[in-house]
Amino acid sequence: MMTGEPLCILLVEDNPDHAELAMRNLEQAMIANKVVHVEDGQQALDYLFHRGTFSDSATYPKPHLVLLDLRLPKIDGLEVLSQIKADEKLKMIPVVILTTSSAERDLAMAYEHHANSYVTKPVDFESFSTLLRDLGFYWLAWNKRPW
Amino acid sequence: MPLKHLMDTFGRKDRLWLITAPLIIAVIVAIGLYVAISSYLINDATDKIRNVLLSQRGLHLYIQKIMHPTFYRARDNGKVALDFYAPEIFSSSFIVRNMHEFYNGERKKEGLPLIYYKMASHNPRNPLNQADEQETLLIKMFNEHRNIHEFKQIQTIKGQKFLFYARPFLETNTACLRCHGKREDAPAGLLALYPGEGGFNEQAGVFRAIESLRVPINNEMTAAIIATTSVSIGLLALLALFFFNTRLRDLVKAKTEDLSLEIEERKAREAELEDKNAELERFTYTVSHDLKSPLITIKGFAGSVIKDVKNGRLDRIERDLQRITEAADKMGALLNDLLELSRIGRMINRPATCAMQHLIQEAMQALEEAITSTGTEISIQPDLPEVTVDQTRMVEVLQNLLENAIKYRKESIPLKIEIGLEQTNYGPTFFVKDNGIGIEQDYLETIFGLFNKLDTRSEGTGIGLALARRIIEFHGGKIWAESQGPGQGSTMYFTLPMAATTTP
Repeated sequence: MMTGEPLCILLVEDNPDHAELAMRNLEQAMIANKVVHVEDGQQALDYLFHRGTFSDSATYPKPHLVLLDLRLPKIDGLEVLSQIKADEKLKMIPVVILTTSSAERDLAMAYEHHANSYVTKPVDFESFSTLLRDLGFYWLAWNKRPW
Repeated sequence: MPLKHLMDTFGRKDRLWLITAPLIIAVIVAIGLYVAISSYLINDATDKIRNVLLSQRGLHLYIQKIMHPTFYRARDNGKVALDFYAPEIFSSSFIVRNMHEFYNGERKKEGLPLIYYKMASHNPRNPLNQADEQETLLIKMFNEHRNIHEFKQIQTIKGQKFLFYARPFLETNTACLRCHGKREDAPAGLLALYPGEGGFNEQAGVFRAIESLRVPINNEMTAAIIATTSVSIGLLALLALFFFNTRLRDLVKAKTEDLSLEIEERKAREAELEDKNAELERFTYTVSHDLKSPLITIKGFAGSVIKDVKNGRLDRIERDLQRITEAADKMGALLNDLLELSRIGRMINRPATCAMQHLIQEAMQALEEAITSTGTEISIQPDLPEVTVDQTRMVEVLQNLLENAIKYRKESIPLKIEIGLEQTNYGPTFFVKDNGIGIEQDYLETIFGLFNKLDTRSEGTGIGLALARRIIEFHGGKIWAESQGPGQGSTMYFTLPMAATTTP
């Protein structure tokens, strides 16, 4: 928006309905040029580390924001988060935990692993829309990135 | 602690034992002690009266060996009349008897008990010396058994205890026969004094008499009884204390062991409770997460539909409503599963013994359609044992395992399932082995978690294995998965240690 660079969001969400809801809202807000949806932790890491089907970094660019669910099949969200934050190149990508869980332990563990933000999915549709729009605007438009 | 209360901690049997055992021991010791003390005291008394008798013996010998020869010489020299005889000078028994009376007189003055002296013969000159029945027997015994030198006996006369001590008198020799031989050989004075036949016709080399002393030993016996009683009572007290102490120590030890066992059990229960709490926490977390998810879907798409309707965008409404319906169904299914899971805490049926074979067939019947439609081949080891289980629940476990195998089969090849029993580290273990898509090493444990699914798109809520684990654990068994990795098939193992697994 502000630069010519296409903005990309990586949405890590195992629930296809939630993913669809998030995608619709993100698209409607017209914040990102591209929203990539992956269904589990394994795929998320494969995408970020350009492994397997995601080896082409032109087709699968480094995201400007990761929306990460915590409860994921195969590799869970916390593990994905800690791998991102342990990687020199990836650790600057803002990771927002987007989850149904409001458990204190999850919240604490997420920040322990250097999550940039933690939000719970609102049940109400309007709030859900507003949240995703605001999130997108904040991280992609207002927030300054070092790259 | 009051003694009464302390005694109450012992059982009836204990108490009886505590009292009897020291008593028996004390009585045995008392008897032994009494025998030992009294025999010591009697020996001591014997020594004393033996001395009295020996000193009298000395006087006898003096009379025989010195006085008599002196008199005979005086008579031979004509200094004494030939027929002179006086027992006061000649008879050693007369002299000693009289000397003893003086001795007793002196004892009396000293306040000492009298010692009764008697010389007894079956052929006495003086009727005073006539032997009674026992003395006659003693004379006979000493004559026949020359190795026996003394005789002692405790006698009770009119309630008084006496020590009776007897020795044979000096052996009769030729000198003695002057007065004790033929009557005509005896001095005329003697014959005048003793007109009877008593004391004559004796022979040399025999004991013609015994000397005896009788001394009261009441004091000694009393001392023995007092000593025995006091020592025994002391011993009894000590023993009772010892037994009491030993028993108490045993009791305390047993109690301590009981207590430490109890503590261990309590700790185990606490750990179990902690596990249960942690499980409950995970459960609540899962439930809230998994129930909230469809709710977000429902409200989210409902909101989207409303908006779309307002905007006249109708193309995706049907699909969205379908999502809403599916999410509601999912929620319903989850709620059912939760209800099911909560029911496992209570067995539906009492455990009963039946053939594992039979349970497997029941599970297969329930899945008949899926098995036939997928062309699944199931082989069952023929000699499976009998198990004691809640049959309905065990069929559910088997059904879940088979369902999973079918759900995660390889599309490319026909599914083959093998069910059998083998030995593992956990003992006899049932297994359900398939040639399906396999499980990655990291997920072998995750799959047993509540609502955990490896593949989000697969059917079901992900409760099957969690349910199976709960049922198996409820039976006291263990369930786990093994797989060589993706594409390599997988094997589910479970044990049933609580059930009596017997080979038919």
